[in-house]
Amino acid sequence: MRQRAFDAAVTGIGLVTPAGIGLEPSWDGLCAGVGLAATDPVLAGLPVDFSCAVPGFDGGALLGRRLTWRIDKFIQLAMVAAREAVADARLDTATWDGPRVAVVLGVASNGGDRWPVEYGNLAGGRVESISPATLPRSLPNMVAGEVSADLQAVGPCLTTSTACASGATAIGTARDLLRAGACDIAITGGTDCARVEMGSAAFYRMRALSMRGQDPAGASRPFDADRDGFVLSEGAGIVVLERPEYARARGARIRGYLSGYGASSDGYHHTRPDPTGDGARRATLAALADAGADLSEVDHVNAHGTSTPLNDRSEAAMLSSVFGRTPPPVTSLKGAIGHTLGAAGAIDAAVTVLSLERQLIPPTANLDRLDDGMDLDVVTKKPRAHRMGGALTNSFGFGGQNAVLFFRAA
Amino acid sequence: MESVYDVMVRQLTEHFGVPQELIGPDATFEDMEFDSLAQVELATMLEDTLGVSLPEERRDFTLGEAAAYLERAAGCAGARAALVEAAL
Repeated sequence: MRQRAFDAAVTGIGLVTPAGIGLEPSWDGLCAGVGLAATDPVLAGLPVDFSCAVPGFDGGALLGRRLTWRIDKFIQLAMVAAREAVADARLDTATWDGPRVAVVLGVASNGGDRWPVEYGNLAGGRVESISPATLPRSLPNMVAGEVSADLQAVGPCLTTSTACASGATAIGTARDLLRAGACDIAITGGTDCARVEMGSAAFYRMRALSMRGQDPAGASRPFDADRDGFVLSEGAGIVVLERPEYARARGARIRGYLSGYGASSDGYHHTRPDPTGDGARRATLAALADAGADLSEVDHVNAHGTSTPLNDRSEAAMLSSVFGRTPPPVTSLKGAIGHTLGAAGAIDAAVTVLSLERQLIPPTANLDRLDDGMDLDVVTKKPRAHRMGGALTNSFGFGGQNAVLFFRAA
Repeated sequence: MESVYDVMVRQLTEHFGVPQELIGPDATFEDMEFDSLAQVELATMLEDTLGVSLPEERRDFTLGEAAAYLERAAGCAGARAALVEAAL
């Protein structure tokens, strides 16, 4: 049975990305349309020794060592973004009805900051030297728990994990909680920091990463003929969603609406996308059906666009097949900021809301020559002013897990 | 040479971010808003840097009492000096 249409109001946004700390620095950096990857001292000596890092991020300075000594960076990134999103929504955590505020956050990885040290202690027989914070600082659920405690948002609290779709899955799930009446407000999005040695080494062994070490800034090149893999990144994107009547009653500034969410599984392969794009297509159509929208209302697609040979080919084919014509203007933020994994779907969602609000699409960095056989209108080089009423974001995780969101302009 | 007390103060400020105004010889761990997780972490760090640690049952020590206990536990002054030297 289909649920009634429900437009969750997006009233706040927080972003911590390689383009900057904060919503406006991130937006400006994305609109500049240049690749932000660089050689990374954290990855020195590895086959892939470059990444996209959040510039100047000092969790201790932003949040206080009192807190940060016991939480990994993926939690710190989310907490900074969540605080910004709540402030952007002009909500007061001291006076809000905390039990009516949900926290739903997506993360793909385990926090990896301390595991090498603690495994070293274990291997060296130094069990008594293992930090008691090892688990609480790194488990995926802890990001939602810590943000909940920090904001006193004490309604439903959960972490979603669908690999690179985690952030979008979280936002869709939060929307469902709002529609079900389980909360009035949801702090939702995604975060990740796999920019650690094992993250680079393990993705390298999967042949998933770009090997363009001689030109890191040009390494992430979604839909480009010369793309050769994704670039490891880090970041967090958080949005505040509210029941629309709740947002209107408090006179909130509404930046946009989340109107549809579609989820599906490929059931095809543990890492590769289904080349027919069937799972992604079903998620797209489900998101539109959920919103009561048809394809003519889609004026823009914020693509998953990882810069891997397989994803971009199958995503382009899926979009062409779904639209039955050249799809509306497409962009992938990953050209500029690399792949933030569990945060990617949430950063895409936040930026898509801003695109609808500002009627401007940030460009896909490094797209010099569209790959053969792709019938796409990709925004490149500079932002494009475009009249938009609705937009899709695509997020596809390995494991074949897909999440598509449909947003409407306010 | 840094005393055991100073080693503890450094760990409290640099690692745990305890505000200076909460730290003093008469401050208890409760005064410094140290929960059990933080206490175990501190005990682990002291063990790693000084070779001695605080007993589980004496977490109600003040900072001054803890430092004195650790100095005694570390043995004679010469041994203590060597251990503190090693910690630096």
